[in-house]
Amino acid sequence: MTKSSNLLDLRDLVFDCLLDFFSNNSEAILLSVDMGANRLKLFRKEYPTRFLNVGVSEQNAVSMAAGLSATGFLPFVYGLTPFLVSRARAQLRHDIAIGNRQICIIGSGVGLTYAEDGPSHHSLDDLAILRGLPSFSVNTPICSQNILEAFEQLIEKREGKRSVFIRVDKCGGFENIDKQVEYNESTLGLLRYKSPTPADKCIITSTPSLYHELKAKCGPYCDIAFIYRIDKFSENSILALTSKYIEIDVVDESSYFGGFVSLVKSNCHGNVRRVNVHCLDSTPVQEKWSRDDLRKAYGLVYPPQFDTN
Amino acid sequence: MEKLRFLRQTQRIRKAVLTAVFNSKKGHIGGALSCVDILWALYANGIVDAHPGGPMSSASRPLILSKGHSATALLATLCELELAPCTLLQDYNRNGSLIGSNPSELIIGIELHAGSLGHGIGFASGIALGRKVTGDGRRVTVLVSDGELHEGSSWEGIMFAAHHNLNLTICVDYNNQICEDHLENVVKLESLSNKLNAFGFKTVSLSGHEYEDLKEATSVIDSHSGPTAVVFNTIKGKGVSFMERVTRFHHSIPTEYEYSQAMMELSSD
Repeated sequence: MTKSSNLLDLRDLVFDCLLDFFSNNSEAILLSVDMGANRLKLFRKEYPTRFLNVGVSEQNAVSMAAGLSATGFLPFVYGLTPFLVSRARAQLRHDIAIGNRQICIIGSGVGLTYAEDGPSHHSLDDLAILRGLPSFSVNTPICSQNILEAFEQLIEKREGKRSVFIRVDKCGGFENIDKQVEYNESTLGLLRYKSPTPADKCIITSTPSLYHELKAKCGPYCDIAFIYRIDKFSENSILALTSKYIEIDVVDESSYFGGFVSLVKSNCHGNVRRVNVHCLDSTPVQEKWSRDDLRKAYGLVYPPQFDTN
Repeated sequence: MEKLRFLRQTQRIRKAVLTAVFNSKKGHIGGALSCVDILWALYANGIVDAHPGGPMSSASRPLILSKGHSATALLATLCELELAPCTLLQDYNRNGSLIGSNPSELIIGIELHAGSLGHGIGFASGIALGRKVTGDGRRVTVLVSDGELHEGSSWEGIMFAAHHNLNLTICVDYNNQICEDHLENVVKLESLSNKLNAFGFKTVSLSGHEYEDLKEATSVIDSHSGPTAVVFNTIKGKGVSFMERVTRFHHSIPTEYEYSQAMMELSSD
């Protein structure tokens, strides 16, 4: 598998940014739900007294984080996305959001990052759950700028959102976007890749590893919108985004109602004549899924070039 | 004779586990190797049997593999004991296969589509409760990892099973390690036997690798019909010297050289 030369591992990028954040914010601490990562070893060496492996217990980790927040700390909890979202949802809602406390969750896994571990490890419906969580900004970064924006949100608490959820794919990410073709439209919560020629089609995704494949595949007259802030991607965002196109493709590793696909389908601008949907079925759950199937169905490069598994 | 059979068969099971993971380049080795002997003892002595596969079906004496990521050990054990076809592991982690790192319930021997730790005891309690209600006294057995006892949901199931005096046996693969570290450095469980006793389970603590201890465990399980727990003291990565107690072999894939060395060790008398 080859990797683009200007891509770095996204998880490494997150932890690099976290190292910087920790150097400037002494109240920050990191709890891990027995999850590893390459850069985490460096992190633990750098901040041995500000890291704790709390064991295989997502619910307890979030409740404890709420308690730590109540005593003036800024807790980060790192684990697997589907377990943090599904298992600890009550704790996120009651202990953090309702209790008006603050947390940053770093969830490893977007869509089918952990495809071969089976449906217990698939993140197909977490966006729908996270969008409904009060006071959370929900981020799926593709570059350092997205990550830094997410961490800034912890300090700025814009729009009344005190807490942050960061979903991290196992693929390459950019240190810096190519400003000649990629535009950060933060008010809409998206990064737009503009084709060199005026486009009449836009492909929308929130899956980082798909974004790279789509850029490699999409020809002229086609833009790509990468949704990195799902909580900002509202009906108005969809109207604003889609007003310039006559055809929209939604390609995402989420289920129809579990992600943002249904939102797009029902809120496109009147100029759009066709909306094509390529997402995942929430059933059947008994079949093993690979990241390759959706790519094959959409005609993308197979196997994926930019994953860092 | 029986002990010799145990030693030879468990060696072959370990080789099958390593081969499946090595060939597919995905999977969990350490925790699978630590529970091979336990699985052999449970199936070979008829404590549990394998269900035929398919939704809503259950074995007469089911084993719920709550630590689903060790399914290679279970499927290899079933193959070795001729309870399931040996072709199953050839599909391990192949695209379109039902046998991923946490296999489907449609596969023989898999009672619960696991993967999310901490669900097995509750699920097993539900089966045991249903059987109690219908007057079916047959035992339900669940194999859990020590790490998943960090999950609070495990203890909800334990309390419930004890309260209702269910015919449930919990086997703990107590290898004292989780993914990233040893238990004593994270959240220790000691004394696990005392904890389970206090929660109302008749508990014994035995070696999870010595033939005599495994025989004693099966005897304890067979002779007690209420909530029972066996804490099997095991070694993660058991059977391959350079994998034993080594953290990275929780889910690292061996190199070609490591694989060949491991297979050589497992082929020696």
